[in-house]
Amino acid sequence: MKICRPRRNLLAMWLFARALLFVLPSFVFLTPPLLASQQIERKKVLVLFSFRPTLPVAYQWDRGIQSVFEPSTSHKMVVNIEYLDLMHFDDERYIQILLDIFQYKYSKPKPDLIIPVFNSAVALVLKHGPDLFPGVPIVFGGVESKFVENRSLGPNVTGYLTDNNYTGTLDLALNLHPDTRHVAVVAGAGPIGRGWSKACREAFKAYEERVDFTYLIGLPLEALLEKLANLSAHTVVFSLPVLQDGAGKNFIGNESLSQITRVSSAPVYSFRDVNIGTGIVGGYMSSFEEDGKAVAQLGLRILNGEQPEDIPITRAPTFLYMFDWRQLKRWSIAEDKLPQGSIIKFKQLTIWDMYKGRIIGAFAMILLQALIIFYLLHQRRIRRQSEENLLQTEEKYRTVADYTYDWEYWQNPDGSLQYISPSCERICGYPAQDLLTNPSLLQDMIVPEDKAAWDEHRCSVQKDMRSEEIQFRIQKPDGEIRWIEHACQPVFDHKGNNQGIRVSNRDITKRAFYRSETHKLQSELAHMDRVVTISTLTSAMAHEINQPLAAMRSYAQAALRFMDKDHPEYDSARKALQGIVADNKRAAAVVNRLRDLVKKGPTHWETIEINSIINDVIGFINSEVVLRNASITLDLYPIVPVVQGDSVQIQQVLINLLTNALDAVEDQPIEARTLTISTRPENSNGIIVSISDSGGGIPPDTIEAIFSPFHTTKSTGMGLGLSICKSIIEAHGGKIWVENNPDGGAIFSLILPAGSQTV
Amino acid sequence: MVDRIPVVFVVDDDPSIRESLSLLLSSAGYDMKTFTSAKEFLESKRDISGPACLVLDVKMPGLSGLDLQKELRSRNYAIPIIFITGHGDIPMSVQAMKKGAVDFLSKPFDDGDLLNAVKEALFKDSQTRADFNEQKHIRHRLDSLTKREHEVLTYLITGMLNKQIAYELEISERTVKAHRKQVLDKMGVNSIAELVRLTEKVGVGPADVSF
Repeated sequence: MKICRPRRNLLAMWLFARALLFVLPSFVFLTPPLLASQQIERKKVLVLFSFRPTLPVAYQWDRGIQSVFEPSTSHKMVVNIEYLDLMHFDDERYIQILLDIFQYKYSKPKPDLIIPVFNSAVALVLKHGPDLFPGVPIVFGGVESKFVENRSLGPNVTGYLTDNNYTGTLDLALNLHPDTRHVAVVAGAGPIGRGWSKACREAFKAYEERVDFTYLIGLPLEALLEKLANLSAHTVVFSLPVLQDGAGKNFIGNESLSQITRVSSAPVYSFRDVNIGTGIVGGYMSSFEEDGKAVAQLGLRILNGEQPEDIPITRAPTFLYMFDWRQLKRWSIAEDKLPQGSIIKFKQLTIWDMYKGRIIGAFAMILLQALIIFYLLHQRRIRRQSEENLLQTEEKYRTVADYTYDWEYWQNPDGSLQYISPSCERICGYPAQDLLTNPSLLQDMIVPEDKAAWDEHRCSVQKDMRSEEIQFRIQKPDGEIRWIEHACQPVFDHKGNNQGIRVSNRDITKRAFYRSETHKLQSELAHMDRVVTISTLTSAMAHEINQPLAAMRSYAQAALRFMDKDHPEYDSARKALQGIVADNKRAAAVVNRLRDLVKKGPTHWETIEINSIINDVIGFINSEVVLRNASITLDLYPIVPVVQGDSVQIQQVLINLLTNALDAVEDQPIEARTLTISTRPENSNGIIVSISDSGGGIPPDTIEAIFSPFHTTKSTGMGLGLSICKSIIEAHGGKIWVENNPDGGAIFSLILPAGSQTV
Repeated sequence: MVDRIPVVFVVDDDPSIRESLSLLLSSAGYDMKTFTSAKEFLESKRDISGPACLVLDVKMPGLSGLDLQKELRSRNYAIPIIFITGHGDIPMSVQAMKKGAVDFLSKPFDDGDLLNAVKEALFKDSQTRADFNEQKHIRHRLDSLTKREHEVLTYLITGMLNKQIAYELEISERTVKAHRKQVLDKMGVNSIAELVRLTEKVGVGPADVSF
């Protein structure tokens, strides 16, 4: 056992040490003030308020006292506050209980200072304090001077006197309302109210000459309020706190005052700062808080070693002009009329007052933003304007490009298309989009015959970089062929870099068509002109020859008539016969002239391919052949020697022969109206052309005379056509003849010497 | 009326034609006169008192035959025309015939054709002249009528009875009868039918009577 006990102690110590190791560092760290206070002297203060803790005055006083003791660094202050509520309980027994409690609570250790506040508490402490806590200094507050006038204060007692200043507030009210004629003084019932009203009445005596005083004291609250609501003009109300009304009803001071100010038809003034906020305008105010501070400071001096008897009892000096800003407004009291140093509470600062800086800042910000916005808008407008301008310009140029009649495009150096005008579809049949997606379509649509020219053109343009024009044909998707006049020129940017080529394709199909048509027409006209020569010639010839013929017949018949008369008139007959001779000569001259014309007429010698001449003639006469329901068979020898001659004259001969042949088959049934043209070489030095018909043939007796002038079988014929044909062929060094076909019809043949130059 | 010798005018620019035609016509016993151009014919002083006709070449320098025909029509000179042409075409001849040509002969033509045409033309001309003379005669007689008689005449040729005419003109039937007799006497006719024939010739129409 003996051995065990120390061991147990050792164990406990060890455990404690271990616990200390854990706890100590944090303890030391966390509670330095506690550790520091151990050097400061601890002072215990007992504050005794005569009122309840719920009153505003309690709070004010408490705050005043605490504001002094709390920050004290010289002592560790322990402030005990007791609210004695002596206004409601003041009997012997209550006081004894209180004293017992204080004895019990605070005698060990006894307080270093006692602070009683307000009459009842001060009276209690002065009476019982020396017995309860002998030797403890007492510093009182909240009592008026007359309270101490009749009392003997102990040696360790001092304090502040707080006298109400009624006249200060009245002066103030009269100053602020110079036309005041009535003053209504409000006070409650009960000893306090009566005391205050009495003091007040005495204080106001001096003013009774200036204004009327109405004392509304100890009335029931309702009656009081009714009176206040109906005050006459030029009245101010001076209200003391109504703690108890005439009906014995108790109020907290501010509670009743709020009702008073609410109904009062005149401004209400009072004299305690604690009343500010209840609706009073203001007053020359004493402050419970200030009183508390003053008392506490006095107490602190004593705790610091001063003796109470060395400190004289003095009046609290702290009065302030205080106002409720809202009430100033309500009663239209200008702030500049207030005495200097006035404190205005509940001032509702205007937004400007409260946020001046921020407002300026905000406005500056808004202004700045507005400027920025304006600037940005301006910028945007400029940009839009320029965009719009750009758009307009682009649209303008696009319209220019899109509405070109020709097919325009711009080909990039890589072969792709930068632009192609919609008119391309009109010309080539492919929509612009097709060519954009497939640029090679362009060369695909060129007809094979023109591809080589196109390739050559492409090469030269790409090599030499110069503009060039070519024409080629394209085939549209529907197979139609179009002539394109293609003009291109290389495009360079301002730096001189090649940007591809710019191309105009013009559809010249119509132009080409008209050109070829014109050409065709011209040649046809020329052809016609030549071909009609024979008929024109014969027509002119007809007239020339007809005249002598007509004359000759008339002469002859006249001669016969003269001869046949009963008495023949020989002279006249002779005259007629002479006329016949003359006109016969005249007719012969005409025929000779014609022959000469054919022989020596302007001829155009050239190399003639007889087969092609025949084809030309067929083309010319074909309509006539069709009209007459006849048909022409060609039997052309493929290779015949060329001849020299006047192709027009040869054509005329052939046309004449064919026309005769057509006349010859006129009487045949339609199916038997056939003509045949054949060519064949003759002994390699000539060509024989034969025209056979299926007509009735030529009577053998006239076959010899058929080429003579004026031999005709036709009623309308002149008998000159074959004669002229003969002249022409003979002029070409050839021969013309006719024979009857054993199978029926006639065969006119002519032979032209190969390569014959001239007659 | 046929006492005057008919005359044939020949207009042709070709001297052989003029010469041969004048020989031919004279062989047939016609008096004739030749002109080398339409202009010469228009400007010449011709005896037009007797029957005449014109043998006219269509194609001539200056005024053509057709131009001359037009010009003569415009001068109210209704001489019958026989056209002769070197190469007559159908439209031209149709045009000429429409405008009153007697014939259209193509050169060369036979003497018979020409002489027949001339004969016809001369007959036509003498007919025209006779008509003209008769009209002149009728007009002369019409002019001898009084205004009232002329008025009555226009009623007579409507075929109205005397009674009706009297009613229309608001005169007595008796007076109508008297006028009627005067009109027939002055006009030299015996019947109303004859009177109607005469007035038709000169274009005097019946009164406009609405029944």
